[in-house]
Amino acid sequence: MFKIGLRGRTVTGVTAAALAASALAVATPGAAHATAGGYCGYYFSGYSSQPTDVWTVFVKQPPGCHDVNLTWVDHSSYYGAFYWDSAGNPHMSTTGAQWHSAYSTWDQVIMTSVNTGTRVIVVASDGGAGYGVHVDL
Amino acid sequence: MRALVPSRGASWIGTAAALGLVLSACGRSTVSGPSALPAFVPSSPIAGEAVHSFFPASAAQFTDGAQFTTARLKAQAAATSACLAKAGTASNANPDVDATSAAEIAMAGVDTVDFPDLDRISSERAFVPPIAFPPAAAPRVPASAPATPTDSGRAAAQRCRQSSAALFPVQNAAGPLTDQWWAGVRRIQSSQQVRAVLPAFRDCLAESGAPADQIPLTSSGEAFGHFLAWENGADQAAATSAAITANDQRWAPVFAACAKPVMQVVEPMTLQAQQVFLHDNARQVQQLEAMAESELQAARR
Repeated sequence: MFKIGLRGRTVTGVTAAALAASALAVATPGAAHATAGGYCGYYFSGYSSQPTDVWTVFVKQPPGCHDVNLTWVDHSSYYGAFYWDSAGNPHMSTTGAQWHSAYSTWDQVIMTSVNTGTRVIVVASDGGAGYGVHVDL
Repeated sequence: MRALVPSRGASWIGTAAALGLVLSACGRSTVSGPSALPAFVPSSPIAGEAVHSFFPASAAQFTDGAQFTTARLKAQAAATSACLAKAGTASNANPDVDATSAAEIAMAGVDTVDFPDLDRISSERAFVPPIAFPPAAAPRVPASAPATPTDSGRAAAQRCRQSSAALFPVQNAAGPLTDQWWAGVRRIQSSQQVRAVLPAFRDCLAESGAPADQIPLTSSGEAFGHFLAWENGADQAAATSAAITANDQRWAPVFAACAKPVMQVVEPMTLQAQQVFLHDNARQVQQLEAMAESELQAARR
């Protein structure tokens, strides 16, 4: 899980090196899970691969402690995320698809540094009608 | 990022250890036990792809397994579309459903964390391929208000997706065993042998200018995931698709080069553990093979 250090367009003009340094300097894996239920970002329960609300499944909330992390699923599968750039072009998260076992609780980074308001979809490669997922945003 | 590896069902790791699955100090495997086991021979090409989709142990196997996954998802997508057309709700529900199917299919062959295809990543200078959405399912501009599907359209989409997923009971049947397999994969990724080569991965990234000082050295999956999440963050910060592409083109070859020595440790260990795993669970694996093949053939008819 990553604390948010970048906010998309707000860092335009920052050198790549500085950008890179700031990105990892604030990354604190696992910190917010130190206490049960200690989510300090927006915590959302929803469904992956929701077929009829696919573009609105998750909307990135204002800065909190989390980025888009998958924390729990009710079905074992590969999960991945997609986002849209400012021109409306879809992009798959660089982290691709990652296996998440059902009912195991851990913070799986599927995207990071997502702009507030960005629409994100979480997809499971099982192709079902939507599996239950918990997402930290 | 924190992984809590479930301990249940990981007895095959113990079996592997008992059989002498150890690594030398220089990272090359020296296996005494598993080589005595009969090699896994799938009952058919499709069965082999299915086994590799459920229990991948290398990038090559993951790619092979993705063929089954892709074929399954395409069959499901076709069944869903036919179901929706029959229900007469296609005009409302189809775009989102088709786009969801396209996203699933695009994702099926991309694993950059556990079994990354480093050769492809290096040669294509891209971590993941572009998403090929069907024209009718062109995604809406994020800021625009989405169309609200009717209740009947939503219900039809749910029902049709469920019915198409039900074409493949093998997915649920494989669940417990795949969870068991992945628990073992996580253990390998965090093994002493793998952790021993992670500092070199971190140093390699640092030499290329990546801010690598906080990359976790706890497991290969977490180390890779950490870097990729950062790289994805830089993508998010890019304002245009061209800038995203340029960012990926810069870092994909770097990641491939730095991750290669790690995977040269991970993959032999995982492949050997897989041999034990498939041997220990041969009966269940055979059942899954038979289910996968018959279900895919039935869905294609």
